[in-house]
Amino acid sequence: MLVLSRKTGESIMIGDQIELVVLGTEGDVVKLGVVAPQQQRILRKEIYVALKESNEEASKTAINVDHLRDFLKKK
Amino acid sequence: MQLDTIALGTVTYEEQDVITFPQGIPGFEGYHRFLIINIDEESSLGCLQSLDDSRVHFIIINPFTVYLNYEFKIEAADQSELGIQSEADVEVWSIVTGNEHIQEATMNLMAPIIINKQNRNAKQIILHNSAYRTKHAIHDLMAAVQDEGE
Repeated sequence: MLVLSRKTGESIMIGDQIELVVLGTEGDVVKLGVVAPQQQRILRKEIYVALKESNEEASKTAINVDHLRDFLKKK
Repeated sequence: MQLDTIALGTVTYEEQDVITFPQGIPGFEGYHRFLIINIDEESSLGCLQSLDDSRVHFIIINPFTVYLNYEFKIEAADQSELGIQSEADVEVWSIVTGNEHIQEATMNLMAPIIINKQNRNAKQIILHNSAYRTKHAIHDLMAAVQDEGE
């Protein structure tokens, strides 16, 4: 892992097109600004982790599809 | 061709039925080729079955049959990645999670599975700016639609 120190207002470039700016800090919260092309997806890591966990749980799902079908038809 | 599955026994399929997730599915990044097996047309219930590992499968549902008010925008990046030209190309599924208590079954509205029907490419997209979560109780969604309809 590359470790860099930056002051508020300073930034780093990731490749030619992605800029990560430190907008400010408040206690243990760092506010970051990201300038990147539209096709670049940026998301908080915990969202991706939650999705992985949800998918892993779903793949082990012990649901009875016949019961689920009947349940869906009840509405 | 035939595949022995755990969930649905032996399934026959054609190469043109195969759906490709070029990047896999979060948590299952190494699995790229899947089949969608319809379990029940009326309730739009299906099984997303891996062709790479017969043990890997997900119960899926057309989210709109449960929750008509579901709405989201497919980001330009995802559209171009999947080669989507128009809304008519798109098929949408939600992954279901549950146990033996059907009342507790949930579906993932935060990360729908999007399939381009033209080229059979698919991706689980993440609606990270929406209020949708990975687990919405199907029971509650069905009740919400009924309330809003009255």
